[in-house]
Amino acid sequence: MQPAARGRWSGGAWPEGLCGRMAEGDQIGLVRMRDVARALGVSVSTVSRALSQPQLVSQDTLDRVNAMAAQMRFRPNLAARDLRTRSTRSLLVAVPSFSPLFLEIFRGAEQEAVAHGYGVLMAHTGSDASREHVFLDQVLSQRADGLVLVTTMDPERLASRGKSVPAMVAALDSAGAIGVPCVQIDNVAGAATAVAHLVALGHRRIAHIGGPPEQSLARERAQGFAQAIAAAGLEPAHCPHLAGEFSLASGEALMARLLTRYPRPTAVFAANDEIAVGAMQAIKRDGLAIGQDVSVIGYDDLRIGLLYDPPLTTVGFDKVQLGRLAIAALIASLDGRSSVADAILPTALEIRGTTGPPVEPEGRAP
Amino acid sequence: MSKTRRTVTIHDVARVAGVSIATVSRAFNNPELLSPEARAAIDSAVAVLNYRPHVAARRLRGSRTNLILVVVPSLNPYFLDIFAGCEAAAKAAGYGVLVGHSERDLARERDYVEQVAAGRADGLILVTTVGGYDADDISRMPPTVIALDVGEDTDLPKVRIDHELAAGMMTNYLVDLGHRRIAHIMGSHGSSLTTHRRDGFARALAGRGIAFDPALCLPGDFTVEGGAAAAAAIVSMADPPTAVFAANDQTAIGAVQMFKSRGWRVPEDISVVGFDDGRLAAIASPALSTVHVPTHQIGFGAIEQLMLLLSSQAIERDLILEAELVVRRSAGPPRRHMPGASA
Repeated sequence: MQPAARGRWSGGAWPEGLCGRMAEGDQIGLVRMRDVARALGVSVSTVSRALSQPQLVSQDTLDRVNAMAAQMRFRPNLAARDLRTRSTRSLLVAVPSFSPLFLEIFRGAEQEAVAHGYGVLMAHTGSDASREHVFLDQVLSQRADGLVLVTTMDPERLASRGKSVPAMVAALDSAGAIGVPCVQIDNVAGAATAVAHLVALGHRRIAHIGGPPEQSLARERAQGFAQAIAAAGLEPAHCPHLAGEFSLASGEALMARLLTRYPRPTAVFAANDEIAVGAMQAIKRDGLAIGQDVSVIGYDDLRIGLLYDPPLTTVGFDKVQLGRLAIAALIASLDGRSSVADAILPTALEIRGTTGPPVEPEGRAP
Repeated sequence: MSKTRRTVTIHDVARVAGVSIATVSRAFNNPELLSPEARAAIDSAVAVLNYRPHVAARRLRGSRTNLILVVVPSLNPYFLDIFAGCEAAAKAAGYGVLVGHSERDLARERDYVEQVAAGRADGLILVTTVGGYDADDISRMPPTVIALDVGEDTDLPKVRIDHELAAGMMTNYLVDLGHRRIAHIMGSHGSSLTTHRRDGFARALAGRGIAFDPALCLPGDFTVEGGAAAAAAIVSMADPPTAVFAANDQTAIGAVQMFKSRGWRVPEDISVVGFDDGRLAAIASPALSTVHVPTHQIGFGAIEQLMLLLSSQAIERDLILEAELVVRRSAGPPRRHMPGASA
C-alpha cells in the first residue's frame, strides 16, 4: 500500500503558520480584538463588552460587533480569558480504565455538564495513584474548574493532601473520606444479593473471582460475597475467593483454575462482567454448560454480558445516572450551593441466562 | 479553595530556596539542567509553601501546555483502544492526553478544535472527523493529526488503514468460499468509514465479475441494534444472500443474534463477517471472522506524527498501516438451499 502522493505538503515540513503557532501566545488566530474594533471604528472596550457582557451595549452595536467578529474570524483568546475570569467552564472526569463501566459513567457526566453549559474531558489515570494527583493539580492550576474522580487507587495519599484539594466529587468510592461529596453504589449489598440468589437456587459450592484487592470496588464486592456465604452457613473451604484483575483474561485464567478443583464449584460470582465473560469462555472450552454445570453472575450490567451467548445474569445499577449526579454535585459546589447529602444508588439483580439450579452428575454432592 | 489568601508566587519559592527566580523557573521547565542540591532546595520550598505553578499564566507566556487532546466520535471501547496507543506515545514524549467526545457532531468537534487553537492544549488528534476541513479551515487549525480514517476532502495529516482495500480483502475471502449473493450492512450515514468500506465491497465484487445488487446493500449505524434490524430484513427476503459482510463487529454481532433467533445457523445457513476485530469479536458465538485494525499502532503513530509537527519536522502526511483478515468461525461455504426457501 502506497501513501497517496497528493496534496501540497507530501513529504515536506508542515507549512509556516501551523507549527510553532502555540509559541505566539495571544497571536493565535492572528485577528485581535483591536483589529475588530478598528474595522468597526469603535473602541476596544466596546468590542470587549459586546462579546462578554452583551446586555451592556445596544442591539445595533451588538449585531455589528458579532457580524464583524464572525467575518474576520476573530477568536477570543481562551487562555487569557481563563486567567482573567478564573473559570474555564471545563470539567474533568478522571477514570481508572476504559472499561465500558466508566465510559457509561462518563456519558452521564457529559450529559449533565453540557446541560449546565460546561465542557467535560475524560482523563485516564490507568489505575496509577500519581496520575490522579496530576489531574487534581491541573484543576488547582486552573486548567479546569473541577474534577470527578471515579475511584481512587490510594485513599491515604489523597487524605495526605490536606487542604490542597480542588473542587471535586468522588464517584464509586469515598476517595479516602476527605470530605468531598460522594456518589456511590452499595457494592456490598449488591454482591450479597447476587450470592443469595445462587444460594436460593440450591448452590452450596460458590466461588468468587475478584478484582485487585487494592481497589475498593473489588474489596467491597468480596466483602458482600463473604457476608452472604457466612449468612447461608456454607462451608468456607468450598467457597474459595481468587483475586485477579478486572479483565477477560484474568477471569478466564482464574476460572480455568477453579475448574480443576475437586469438588468443583457449581456457581461463580464474578466481581464484574468482564471477569464473568472470561470465566464463561473457560467453562465453554471445557465443554461444560453455563447455567447448568456452572452458574455465573457478573457485576455492572455491561453490554459485553448482555450480548454474550447465553446472556449474563448480573448486578446492575444506573451508571449514566451516577455520572449525572456526580457532575450535578460538582457544579453545585462550584456555584457555592450547600452540598447535598452523599448519594448511594441502588443496585438490582438482572436475572438472565447464566444461572440455574446446580446439576450434580454423580447424583449427590460430595 | 481559598481565594482570599495571598497566592504563593515563584518569588516566594526563590526566596525560601535561596536561589534566583530563573533557577526556580528552570526547575519546572528544564529540571535536568539543575544541580541535585538546587532541585532538592526548590522541591522542599515548593512543598513548604504549597506552591502551584499557574498553568494558565504559563501558557499565556508562550510555554506549551504539554497536553494533547484526543477527540473520539463515540464512547466505544474500540476508539479508546486508539486512545490507549496515543497515551503510550504521548507519555514517552512527556505529554499528557485528555479525551473529548464529539458524538459525530460537527459543532462539538469544531468546539474542540477551537479550544486547542485557543491554547488549552498543544495539539489535537481527531479519531475520524465529520469536519471536512478545507484549506482555509486548516490554515486556522492547531497542529492536528487524523487517526483511523478521513474523507478525501481533507488535507490534514493522517495515520490510518486503507479501509477500502481491507473491505475488498474481506469480500474476496467470501467470494473465495463460494458466495455469490453477498449482502453488506453499512455503517452510519455521513461517516467516511461507511463509504470507504462499502466502496471496497462494491469494487471487489465488480473485480470478481459479480453484479452489485443495491437491494443487498442495507442501511446500518455501527450498532448491534442496527445489525439486528438489517438481518431481520434479510430473513424476510424472497431470495436471501448466503453471506453478510457487516461494516463493523457490533453490526455483525447484532445480525448473528437475529439470525440465531430466527433459527438460522451461522455459518451453516448464512455466513457473517465483521470489521475492526474489537473485544467482542473473539468471544462472540461463533467467534467472528473480521478485519483486524491495528488500533494501538494507529494511536501511537498519530502521536508520533503530531510530535514531529510540534517540533516543525517533516512528517508522513498520509501514513497507512496494514490491516489483516482474521479468520475465525462465522463464515463457511454457502448452503445450497436457504431455510424457508422452497427447495
